[in-house]
Amino acid sequence: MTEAFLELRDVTKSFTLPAREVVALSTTSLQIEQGALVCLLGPSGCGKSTLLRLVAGFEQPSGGNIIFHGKPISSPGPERGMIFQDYALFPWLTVRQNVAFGPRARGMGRRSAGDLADRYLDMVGLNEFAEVWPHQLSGGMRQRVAIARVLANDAKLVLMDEPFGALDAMTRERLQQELLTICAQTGLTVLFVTHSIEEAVLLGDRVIVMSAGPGRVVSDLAVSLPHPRDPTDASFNDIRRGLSEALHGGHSAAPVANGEPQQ
Amino acid sequence: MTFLGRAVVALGLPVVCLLLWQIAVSGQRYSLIPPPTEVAMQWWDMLVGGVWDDAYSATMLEHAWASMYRVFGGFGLAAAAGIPLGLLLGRVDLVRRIVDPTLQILRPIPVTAWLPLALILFGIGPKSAFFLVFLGAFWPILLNTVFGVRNADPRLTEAAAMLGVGKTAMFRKVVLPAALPSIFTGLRLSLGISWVVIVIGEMTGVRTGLGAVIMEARQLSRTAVVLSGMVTIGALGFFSDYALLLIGRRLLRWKDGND
Ligand SMILES: Nc1ncnc2c1ncn2[C@@H]1O[C@H](COP(=O)(O)OP(=O)(O)OP(=O)(O)O)[C@@H](O)[C@H]1O
Ligand SMILES: [Mg+2]
Repeated sequence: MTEAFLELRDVTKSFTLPAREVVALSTTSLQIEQGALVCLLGPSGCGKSTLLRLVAGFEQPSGGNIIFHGKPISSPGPERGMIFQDYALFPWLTVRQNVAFGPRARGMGRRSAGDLADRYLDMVGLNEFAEVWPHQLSGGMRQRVAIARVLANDAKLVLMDEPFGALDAMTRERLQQELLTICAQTGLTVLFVTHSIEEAVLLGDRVIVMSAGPGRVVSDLAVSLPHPRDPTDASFNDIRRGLSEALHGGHSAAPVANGEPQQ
Repeated sequence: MTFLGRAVVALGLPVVCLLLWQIAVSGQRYSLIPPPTEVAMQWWDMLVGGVWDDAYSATMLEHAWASMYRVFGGFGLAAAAGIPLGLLLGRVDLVRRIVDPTLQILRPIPVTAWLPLALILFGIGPKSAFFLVFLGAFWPILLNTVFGVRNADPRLTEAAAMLGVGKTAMFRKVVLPAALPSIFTGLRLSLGISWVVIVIGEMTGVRTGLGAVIMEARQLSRTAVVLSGMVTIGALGFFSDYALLLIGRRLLRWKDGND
């Protein structure tokens, strides 16, 4: 059997507060294959963000191992890029400088980092805004910059924590399509946290459902509908209903079968 | 609004105040407070001479320079000490635990309470004034720098770590720029306080400086000279603050509302 791209083995995470111990993530095991867009779905507080932060290396697991490319994760690193819901752009850098930040930090010259940044700004359709400060951009544009910033930094795995949650419906739909296009172009592996079932079915090659806190995986479903997916489609709705049951029923432990026949 | 329009609006209130002042004091046979016209004449005489030709004529620049030297010297020293110390205190827990309690005890002591000690330590003279300005300017710079460092958004540190910034570069690449707005707030507060403190400092028996002029003229009942000194301090305070504001705007032009 080939080695998984990303593997969580019996990972747990608890936080020690002054008064008590909070279990944020109870024993979770997962394998993510390379090139997949995996959506992580679950009720608020079930540990989705915690899982992402563990994979990013911002937090250390209390138990278990996280193996990425055959090596345990010990700290944040450029091969695992995070997209935050609140963008986390550096306000004192222009859009171009933000995108060039990673390559610059890792020793690339100013000129080539700038060229690289321009290439990725092209990809997300923001080349005209290269010289602008982040606060002059709309939310959707800021999130595009954040995506370009992670791509320019050669991330192999992109971790997205409700990245489109703060955007209006139209902007969200556009960014969802752009994300799919980018994934198709680059073969990126994405771990995408959302609390919208529709978004999960629209984007995911695979949807993982976690139960209410402390989180664990209750359902793991491969979605093989062809893109572009149509939310009004009957098969789309079958999958959505199945996920909704898994999400609200709590322990429909058996993995749900594919919603649609494979092509 | 155009620049001219704004200037007219801004000048309206002072002009009205001056008019009221003029009306209030003129027509009285004997007034302790001279009318603005007389103050203006006195101010002009102190600046270039040729009106009264007395001991105060054409001395303004000398006094203004003396005060500015002490203000900017003390302020500069406070910035040179306060910013690095603030960065350290905000960043290194060990330093904070060692130094912070001492600072917290020293901080509530008003600058004026230091005056007698300053006279003993540095004698009557410009050094005491310098020292007092330094003390007054030091605290706002220090506290705002610490605040800026400690309030740097942890999200941005995480974003930088995720992009490949190591522990040592983190300070220069993220913490310092994130703290800059707060540091500038501290600098502006301090410069304002420096002008307050300098007048107190120069009342300790130095012969030059705007504070000294005001004290001496008060004893001689030359109220127009006192008022001229006050006007000059006001103007210098205003222009130095404005200069700092412009520098800040340039350095912080990335901030929302600064463009
Ligand atoms: N740094 C922390 N210290 C203490 N408790 C924490 C910390 N981070 C998370 N938790 C707790 O862990 C649990 C899971 O949090 P997490 O943020 O991972 O949930 P989530 O699934 O992302 O929720 P949401 O959908 O609302 O974003 C929560 O109960 C939370 O209070
Ligand atoms: Mg979350």
